[in-house]
Amino acid sequence: MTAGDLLAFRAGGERFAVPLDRVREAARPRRITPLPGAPASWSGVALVRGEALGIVDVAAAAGLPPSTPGPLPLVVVLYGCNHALLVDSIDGVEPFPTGRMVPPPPGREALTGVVSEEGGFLSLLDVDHFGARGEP
Amino acid sequence: MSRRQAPGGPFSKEFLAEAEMLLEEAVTCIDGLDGESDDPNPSKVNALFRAVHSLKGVAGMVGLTGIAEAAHDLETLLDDVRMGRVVPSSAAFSAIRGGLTALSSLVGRVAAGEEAPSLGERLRLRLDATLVGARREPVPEASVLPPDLDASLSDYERHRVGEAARRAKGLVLVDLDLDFDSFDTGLRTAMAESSAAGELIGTFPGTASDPSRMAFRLLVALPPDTDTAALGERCGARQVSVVRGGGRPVPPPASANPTAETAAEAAPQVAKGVVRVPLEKVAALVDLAGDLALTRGALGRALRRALAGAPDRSARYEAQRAFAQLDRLVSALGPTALSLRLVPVETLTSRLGRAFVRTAAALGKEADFVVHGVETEIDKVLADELADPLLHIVRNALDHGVESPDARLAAGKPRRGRVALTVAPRGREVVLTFSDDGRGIDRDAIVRKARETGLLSSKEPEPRDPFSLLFRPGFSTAEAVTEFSGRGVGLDVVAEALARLGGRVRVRSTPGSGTTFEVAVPMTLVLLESLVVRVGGLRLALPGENVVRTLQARPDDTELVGGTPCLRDGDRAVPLARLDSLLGLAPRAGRIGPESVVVAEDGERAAAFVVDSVEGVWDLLVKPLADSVPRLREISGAAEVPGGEVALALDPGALLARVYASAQAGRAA
Repeated sequence: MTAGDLLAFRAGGERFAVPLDRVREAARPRRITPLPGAPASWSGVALVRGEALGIVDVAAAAGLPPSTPGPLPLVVVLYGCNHALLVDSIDGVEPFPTGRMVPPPPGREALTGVVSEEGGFLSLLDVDHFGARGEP
Repeated sequence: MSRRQAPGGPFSKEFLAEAEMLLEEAVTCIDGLDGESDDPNPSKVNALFRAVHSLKGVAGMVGLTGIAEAAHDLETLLDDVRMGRVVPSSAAFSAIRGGLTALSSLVGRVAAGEEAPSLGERLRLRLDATLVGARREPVPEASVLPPDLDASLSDYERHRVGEAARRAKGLVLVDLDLDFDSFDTGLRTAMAESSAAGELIGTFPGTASDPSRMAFRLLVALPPDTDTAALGERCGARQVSVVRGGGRPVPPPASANPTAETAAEAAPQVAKGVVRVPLEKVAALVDLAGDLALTRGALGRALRRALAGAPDRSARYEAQRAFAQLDRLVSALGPTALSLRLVPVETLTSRLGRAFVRTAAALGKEADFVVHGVETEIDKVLADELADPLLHIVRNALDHGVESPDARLAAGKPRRGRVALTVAPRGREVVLTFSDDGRGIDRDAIVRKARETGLLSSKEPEPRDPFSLLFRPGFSTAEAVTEFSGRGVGLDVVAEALARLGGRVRVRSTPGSGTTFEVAVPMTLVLLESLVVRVGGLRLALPGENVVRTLQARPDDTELVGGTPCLRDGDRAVPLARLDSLLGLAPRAGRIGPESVVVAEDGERAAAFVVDSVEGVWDLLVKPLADSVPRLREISGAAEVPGGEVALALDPGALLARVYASAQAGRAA
């Protein structure tokens, strides 16, 4: 692993990535339990290795239609936060993209930037955006 | 439940059980050695030595130094006997018996409630007095063993080799060359056979015939007439070499079976009912339980698919039944594994109790430590982390709170002071409340002192809670620096340590009548008896201690009090609320007839909640949910309920606050 590597994954049909050094593990909790009073970008709560983690719906947070997770949803657990990211599938570890990064479109504060790549976009997620300020 | 904390607390209960078992074992050993003096059975001497050694250990652990000291002295004598430095004469055995009697009486005094019994003189002196002339100098002798083996002998093994020579016993080396796959069984058999035939002095590595095999070499002392060839055969040995004579090929050995005693020797040493396990092993078990649960899910789906078209009905039934069984077992495994990390808070409070007694004695204070709620279970990690800050609070209460006996009498108080500790779960926290009946803290004095020392500048307004100044670095109200508090280490360290655990501390005080320190820490792994209900498709858990009752209510059971629907609960009317609408959940469709109602209270207020159904009462391991996860503040955490579902834990205080707030809003409208 070199500094700047990313973990890339898909959610809501788009590609996203987070810094690899923030990733603790990918896990499949039994299910996600909805949390009353949570904003739409949060899918609920799940028990991962005995820890209660808030689950961020990456698709909904990026302004895409919200996911409807079934049993054994795939989540990416992060270091330094009390939440995990709900994703559809994991693409793998990738070097930081060489393409030009542009700021995210307005209303997508959960992203730090978007890189154009062959066949679409790769959106870089700001993992600390969720929860840190108590904001969705 | 409440009880007076005896010095040593529950440790003395555990200690007594353990000590009595060890003493019993020791007495059994020495009884077995009677009539064997002069040539005592070495394994019995070793067992006796180990029992006394363990007693020393447990006594030391709980701070009973008088007992640990006496056990140490007896252990020294036993070591001398097993190492041959003391002749195993009847004088030596009566000295050992005397030592055991002395230890028994010390343990008996603990059972009778004595705090720290001791013999008043060193047991060693007493033992030595009975042993005049019994000591002897070890006789070094030329070794008959192969040099590599000789070099690897321990002192004890060397002594036993010497003993074998002194008693004209034969000495043989049994060489084993065992198959790798089954070497443990082979080795055990050979060790048992050797012990049965004579004395197994030691087990050493040997040289294997090829890399896929394991070789061992047993050094065995045998009675002079042992048939070594037959022994070799029973051991499955490759070769038996006689190192020193005595062994003659004469017919059969006394016993071909290992005696009960050697079997016991081979059994693992486990203290009565308690096994210490490192935390990381528990973590590994918890992870395994989680992975197993996942596999169970996958198996269940595969099974359903595979069985869908199966023509054999009975096979389908059998498979489903077996799977249901597996499902139940796997579901039970996770919480069980996690619960290994929980310990009764008693292990923590008893430590505080011991510190209390020591501190009070050192400060010349007379006071009782009374504990309530010791049955609350908390995470082992939390218990360990809490020990230091709480010890500080206890010492502080004795040092600065409880007055000296004379001062108390002068103030018209009972001579003996009192510090009460109450442990109780509250919402998602464990609250430990320390209340003393001492001199209290004068809030004005605190502010004055803070201004004098510059902790609070003259421009700064007085904080709303002046007691919070106590926890600022550099604050101390101590008039004298004592051994226990002062020394520059103040309550700020306590506040900091608790903050690290996500907790906090608050002080209330009335000058002249006492001070209360309230410590609240997140429960992390507190096992909570909970009522689980279903509401709007979710499972919700309420702490059992907040639940008054569950009942079925019909619409005509309710009445309006000041515009708010209420339910009669005994002689009071409590506000009634639908939990689904209160939490913004979808109401259940088609409600007809009586509904399930839970009456809950938080000590001040009570309310009745309509739920979809009541699922049951379980001990749940509630995991707190971080504040950074947005949600209703009535939800404090999550817990797995039997069956693998997740229940959201409700904070009864917040829930009741919402009911009363909405009832008030209803009245205002």
